[in-house]
Amino acid sequence: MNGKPDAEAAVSGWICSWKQDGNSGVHDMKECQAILEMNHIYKQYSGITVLEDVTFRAYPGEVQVLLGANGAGKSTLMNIVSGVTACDRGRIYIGDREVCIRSAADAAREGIAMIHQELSLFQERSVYQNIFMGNERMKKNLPFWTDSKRMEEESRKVLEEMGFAINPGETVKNLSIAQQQIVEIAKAVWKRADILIMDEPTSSLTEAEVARLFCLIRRLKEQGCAIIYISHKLDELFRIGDRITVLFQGKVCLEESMKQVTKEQLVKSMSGKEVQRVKKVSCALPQEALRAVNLNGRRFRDCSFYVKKGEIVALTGMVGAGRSELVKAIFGADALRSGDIYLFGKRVSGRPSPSASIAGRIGFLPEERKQQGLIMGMDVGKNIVQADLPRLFPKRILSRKKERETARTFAGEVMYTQGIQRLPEKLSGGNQQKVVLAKWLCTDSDLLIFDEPTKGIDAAARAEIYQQILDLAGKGKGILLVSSDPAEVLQLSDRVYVMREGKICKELARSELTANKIVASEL
Amino acid sequence: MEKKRVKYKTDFGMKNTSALTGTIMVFLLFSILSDDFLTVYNISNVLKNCAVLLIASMGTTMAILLGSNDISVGSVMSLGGIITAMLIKGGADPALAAAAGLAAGLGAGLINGILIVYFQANFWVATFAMYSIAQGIALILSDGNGIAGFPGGFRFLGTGKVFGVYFIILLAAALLALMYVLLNKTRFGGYIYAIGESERIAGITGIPTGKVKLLVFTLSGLCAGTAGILLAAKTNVAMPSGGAGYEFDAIAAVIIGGTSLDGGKGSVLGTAVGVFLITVIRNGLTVMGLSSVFHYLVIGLIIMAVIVVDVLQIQLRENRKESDARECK
Repeated sequence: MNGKPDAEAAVSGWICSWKQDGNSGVHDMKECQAILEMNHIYKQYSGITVLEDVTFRAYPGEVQVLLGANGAGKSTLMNIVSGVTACDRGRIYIGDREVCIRSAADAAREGIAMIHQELSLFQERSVYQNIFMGNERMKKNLPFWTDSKRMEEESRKVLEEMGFAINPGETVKNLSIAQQQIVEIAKAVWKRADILIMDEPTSSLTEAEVARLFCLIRRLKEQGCAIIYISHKLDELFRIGDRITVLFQGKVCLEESMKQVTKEQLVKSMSGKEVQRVKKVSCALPQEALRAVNLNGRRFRDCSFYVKKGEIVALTGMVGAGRSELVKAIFGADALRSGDIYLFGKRVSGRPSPSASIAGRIGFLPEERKQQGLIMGMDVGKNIVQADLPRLFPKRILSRKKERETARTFAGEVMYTQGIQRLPEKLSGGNQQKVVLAKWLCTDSDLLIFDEPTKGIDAAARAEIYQQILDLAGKGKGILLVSSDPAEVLQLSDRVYVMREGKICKELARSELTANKIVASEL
Repeated sequence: MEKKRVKYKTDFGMKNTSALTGTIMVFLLFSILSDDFLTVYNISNVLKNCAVLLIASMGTTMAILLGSNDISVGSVMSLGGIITAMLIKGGADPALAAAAGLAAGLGAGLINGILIVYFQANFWVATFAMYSIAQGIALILSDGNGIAGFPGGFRFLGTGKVFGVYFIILLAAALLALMYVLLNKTRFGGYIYAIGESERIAGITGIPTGKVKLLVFTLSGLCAGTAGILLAAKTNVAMPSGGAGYEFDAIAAVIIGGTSLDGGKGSVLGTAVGVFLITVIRNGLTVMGLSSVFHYLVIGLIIMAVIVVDVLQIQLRENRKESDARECK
């Protein structure tokens, strides 16, 4: 797997290492040759710049930490290295060889292994089958016959070496999430990759398991493996990291040796320097629009909070903290196990369901606009009236004229000017979001839930959506805003709830809001 | 706090044994209801009838495990049979004629695969087109007429005996064993299950998903070609629509055998049980004097029963899991 550099390459590598040392001056001379170097990487997704001139290095025998808020571009950068997506511009070097990584198989050939944040295991297959998937061991005398005994033995050995006792013959779906995460790590570890990328490997591990994982990382370091470590848990980073790169909105904003930085510095660079507090007058009315009491569900527990009419309340936290699940459960689109919901002072009886929520005047603008917010094959006008058909046409017979008129009215209300006959897939993200908003204004919603309303939307449209949210609050509508962007939260919200690991861990009033405070309480 | 449930694997990868239980029950029922059912003659007849469907449904099993389906099986069978029969009638060597029939099946499957992998066609659409194309070619070649009467060497495939057992039964058993090994012991088989469970994960794991899919559809076509030739040899006639309806029986056998239509779950042995159950029911109903018009209804009802039993089992398991989780707390 490891290509041995020939003599010439070795010499030029040595020279290169001198040069590098002169430039950065952070690390000592003997191991300063970067094994992975990504130079001036650019990446855009449908017109939105995700990575801009990012240069990133990883060194053998060191843990390179990659830090950044949600959407800062960490995952995109790592997806480029592991062959999941391609970059628009930029060069990647392994050792001193320029490489072109087009697929996961290419990445494996270059000695790169990635532990994905989302588990990527086959639930119906056994542990050893997952570990060796794509690299099966074959019987010596029967080369087409997989040697399951040997794979099972080797898997057991790898898992034991890592310090975990998991039966390699067990089917993965019978394992706990923590055990599955360990299998995911084992899948990358046995390959003895030169570069090992770990994306949030500890998100579901206990403290003892984390300690064992760190033991393993230190051992891998001794063997000369370069580790790229992504995590939001700052304490962890100081325990295991050697160097750190912080991304902010697709750009590198800090590159340091781990010893040289402080926690405060990291929090500050993650939240961005240009974030400023905007003056905002709260239009909150005394009546409550929503009150949630002790809600429990798939990824949240004991959540209680309230939103007043005319108030903008932000729900913030890291990805996976359970925010989306919580608001979806309130709307009825996700499972709610227990708890009480009061809408405009009245208790909601029975399980929440989308149709009941619409009748109860809740509007929900989902994060996955294209999958859940709009019907892409249906024109804008039809999308706008979609949720309000029962009220518009109580006799169940549609009238094209009334549909168009209604759609035009609400399109005008959200200042959508593209024509209601267009298909949503042809629209920009900002215009799509306007259509979704028009849909909920059409149903006369008095409580609007925005889940990441400006995800994938450019700056100009973003400002427009902010203004609309503020106007809606001014008209007395309750707004519940799920957002990962501290700037957005600062600009819009009257009050903030911070979620962590499924619980609401903090409530901040507007007077005590700063970006640093939000980021610090999320971590 | 680890509770380990020790479970020995005796089910050869068949996740539910309800199909097997059902088959045994149906078998016993017919044995009691009819004197003519449980005779050596009738049982070897049942097995003989199983053989053709079993070979056809092996390809379907692979396609369904992959998370796709292949509905061109029946027409491709007809095409393979017709081509072989015409070449034999034209004076070609039976072995060569059979090879041509196999090649036709392989080619049809390959085209399915190319459409699905390289042209990103939906598998329903691609195999539906092939269903019509293969049927059309078979009709044009034969001018709509059946071709009957084959030399003894060719007929041996369908009616000959080796050590007192029909050759066709032995052949089907051997192919079943081969398919079991292919699916459970080779890299390729593992990849079929993996892609069936999640093509996305298979992609990031570095599995060559395109190649695997291409090969699966090609093999499915080959299986159909083989089945078509055997059908002609067994009945001594190749009809231009002789394979019609086999795709339905094949899919039915796979479902009854417990293979999930979502892909990634199931076993070819389950399919074998499903094939046996369908054939036993057809045979039993005929032996009891019920006309073939009832067969489809009964098979449909059984598929429904399988679905209901499956759903009930899943619910039971989930309830148990939840109560387990509550105990843990």
